[in-house]
Amino acid sequence: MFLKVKNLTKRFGGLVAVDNFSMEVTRRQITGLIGPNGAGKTTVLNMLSGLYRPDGGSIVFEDREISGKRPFEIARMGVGRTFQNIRLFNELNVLENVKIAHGWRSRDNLLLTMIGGTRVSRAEKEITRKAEECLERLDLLRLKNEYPGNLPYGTQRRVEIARALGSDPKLLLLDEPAAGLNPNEVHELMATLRKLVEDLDISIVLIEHRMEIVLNLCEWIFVLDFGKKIAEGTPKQIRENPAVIAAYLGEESRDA
Amino acid sequence: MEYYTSVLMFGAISTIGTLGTFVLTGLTGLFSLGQAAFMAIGAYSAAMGVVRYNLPFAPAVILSVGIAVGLAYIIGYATLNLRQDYFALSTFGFGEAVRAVLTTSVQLTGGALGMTGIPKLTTGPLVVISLVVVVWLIRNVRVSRFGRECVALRLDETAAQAMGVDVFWRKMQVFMLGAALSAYAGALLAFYTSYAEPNMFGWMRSVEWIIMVFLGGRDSLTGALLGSFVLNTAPEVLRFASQMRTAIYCILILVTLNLRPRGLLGAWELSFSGIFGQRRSAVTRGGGSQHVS
Repeated sequence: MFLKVKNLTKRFGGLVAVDNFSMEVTRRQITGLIGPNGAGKTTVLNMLSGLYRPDGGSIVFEDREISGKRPFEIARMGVGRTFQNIRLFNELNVLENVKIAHGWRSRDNLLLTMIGGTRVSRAEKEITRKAEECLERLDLLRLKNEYPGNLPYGTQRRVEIARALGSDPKLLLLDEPAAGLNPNEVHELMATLRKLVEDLDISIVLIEHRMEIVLNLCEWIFVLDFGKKIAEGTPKQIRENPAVIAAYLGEESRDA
Repeated sequence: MEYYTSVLMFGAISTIGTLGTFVLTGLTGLFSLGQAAFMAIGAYSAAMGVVRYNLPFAPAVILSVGIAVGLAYIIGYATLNLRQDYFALSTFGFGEAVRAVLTTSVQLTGGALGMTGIPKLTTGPLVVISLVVVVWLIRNVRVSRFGRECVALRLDETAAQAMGVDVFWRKMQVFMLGAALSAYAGALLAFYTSYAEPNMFGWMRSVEWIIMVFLGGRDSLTGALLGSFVLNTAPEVLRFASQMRTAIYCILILVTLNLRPRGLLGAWELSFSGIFGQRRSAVTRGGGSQHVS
């Protein structure tokens, strides 16, 4: 199994944010994680990428237990991610942002770097080449010298995906990649994600609010409400599941 | 003439120490209020090596840098996981503790009266060569992936972690590098003035270093050099205005930081790209139009 999450639990004080959540993800699959606000979706993602330490349960990625490992270790094992509130490095340009994710692969060290020389500059060239490759995939190469803060919101989201690809991940975690995008951009995004899975042989787990995107894009969907899994299945099954409809309609009637 | 030479020598030696703060605070965003303590450790351990244990000059200096780096590892291990403000406080505590130990160990260090009789072994050429080499080493770090990762972790530690940057170890490396530079400057200083006393290395000095780096532009090595050199020599140059000296110094800093919040040079670097015909984005990127976020 590619990714197997079992009985994952996270508590914040008295609140159980994620309660005994289990999920499985196979290779070359786009998986959706949906649910109303505060359902615990981002908490799950943060545990998968190591930003939160789970209070219980296990996460096995490619036959290795990763829960409790530090974020950079998990990133190096092949898990890349983006953030719900875009977290690009605003004082680094687009190319440098992507290069950050490549850095750990190069075989150099600080002392060698201080002295300089061809080995270091060769490593740097290799980092640049790979970073430009990632930018090319998301059609961002012409913006490589721009600073993220000067780019439109949708483009910043793409830069974040390019940066997440930087470390050659096998699993890509996207936290609301379509938030704030216009319908046109959403279409482009969906096409891009499908192409990434196709070209790079990766799996994607994404969080999304809007049902139509998830139903359209994902092959398998998990539905969370108040930290608990209330359903999983194909888009068709999810669309017809009474519990899911109740969770979503329930939220609307709560709002009213 | 001799007076000006000594002002320049002090300026150059202090600049080497300040460069420790440039990598630590400027690039990586770690505010250490105990950086000058590493200078004290460099000064005292090198001086004691020569005066008390009859070591030759070079090994004593190298040993003193080694001691500072080792100590930085221990202190860093305990403090680098702390949040910004707590890190600043605990390095402050460390710095003052070092000063207190040096003051009270009278037999070993001469206490508050200072340590005298250190041979004058630091020469002009040694200082100049040291400064050039150190600047070159730091410049290489600045333009490498290490420099980039330092800036990235300063801007967003969480994102840097998620991109595979070992944030703790990177901070540790920078902390040790900073300690090495400050200790080396300390050793040069002790053998230049033939004298060392604990009060030369208080927290005020650490703060001054931070001010110098920010005045020149925290992202710019050229700026750090400029800031350090100007502010290290300014008190001497302004000596004619004796009582007003400190006030003028403060006004200079206030005016500069108000007019140019990112420092005099922002992220601008003096570069050799024109001469060697190659562009390096991290060096040549124009930071003037960028604002503080």
